Amino acid sequence: MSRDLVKGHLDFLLLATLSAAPAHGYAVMTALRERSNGAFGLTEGAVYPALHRLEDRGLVTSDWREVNGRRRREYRITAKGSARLGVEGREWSQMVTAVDAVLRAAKPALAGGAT
Amino acid sequence: MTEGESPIEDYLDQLFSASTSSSPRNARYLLAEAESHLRDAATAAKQEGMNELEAEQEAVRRFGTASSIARKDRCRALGDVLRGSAISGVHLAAVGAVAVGVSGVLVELLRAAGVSGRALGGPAFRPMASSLSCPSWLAADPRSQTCLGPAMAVLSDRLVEPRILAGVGGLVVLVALLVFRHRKSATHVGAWEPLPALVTDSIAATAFAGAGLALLGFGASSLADGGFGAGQWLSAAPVALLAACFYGGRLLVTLETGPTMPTPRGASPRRRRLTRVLA
Repeated sequence: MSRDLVKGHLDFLLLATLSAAPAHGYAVMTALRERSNGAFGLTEGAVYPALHRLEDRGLVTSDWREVNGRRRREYRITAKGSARLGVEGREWSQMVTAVDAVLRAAKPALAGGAT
Repeated sequence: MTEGESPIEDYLDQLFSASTSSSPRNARYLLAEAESHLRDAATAAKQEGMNELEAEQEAVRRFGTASSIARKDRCRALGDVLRGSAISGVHLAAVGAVAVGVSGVLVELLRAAGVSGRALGGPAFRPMASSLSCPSWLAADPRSQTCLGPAMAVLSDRLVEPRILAGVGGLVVLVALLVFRHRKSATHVGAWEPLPALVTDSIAATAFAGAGLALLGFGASSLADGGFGAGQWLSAAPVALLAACFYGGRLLVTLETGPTMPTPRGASPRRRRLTRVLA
């Protein structure tokens, strides 16, 4: 999958992952990889600037915790983040439906071009 | 594996070097998170059968280059700098407006102490005392030999009102800024911090000192010119110079004690927020 396509929706993906449960960066990245079956070719470190940006905007908060003997920064989604996730989720569903419809209509043309 | 052979240690060194232009807290947090992430990733890779060196190399490879990660975090830090500049800029402008207001109060005190309007007015008012309007000015003070003095006495009001209004406006802005930062600090930790005290105090001390000296110069020049309009400058100069001393003093204290104001260990979240807001 195009890395640019994923980068444009990384914030949405992070909010969606954190909506399930609070998690530190490594756990968030692992969850994203497992749930997508590795389809997102993200560099793992990119998740941290994105999480920091979400925190700046008040969409997530963070606390330092001791987990398995290591000090980790655990992120959790805020009410504002949940509201933002709801809005982006609806926009995503609308876009997917619309793109699907366009692709179905273009299928015969796409099939002709592929030969 | 010795420290010199550890890809993770090498990577963290690179990340540290690449993060020097970020804020200290952002850089510290990024380094701490990167280290725990890399160690977790290396542990997982070892469980898949890699040796320690291979596991660390794989963890570093999957994490991304240090320069790109630091750059992405810095771009987010750029937002901090812009927000900090906005906060500091508004703060200093409001303090300047309050200083102007205080100088207006000083003008009023000078008038109450009997300083003549001629001394308080300024060259800008001279054209208003034209021959056409002269009779109306003389009517305001029949004892005066010329119309310039009475004109200045009346027009010196124009010195006071705008200055007082500016001062009130500055106070309103300062209170609004305090409320805004207090609310934001509860949910956006670190996102609405002003620029470092070293920067703001340096700018403020320099600006107020420059303004004070310039105003003193204009006042001295007016005194040499017969005292006409010296008051408008000399009422503002001491206020500007006092503000310069205040910020200059704070700058010296910061240079002696270090750039950050420590928050007491174990302070309540409310006290930590108040400390950040008042800094």
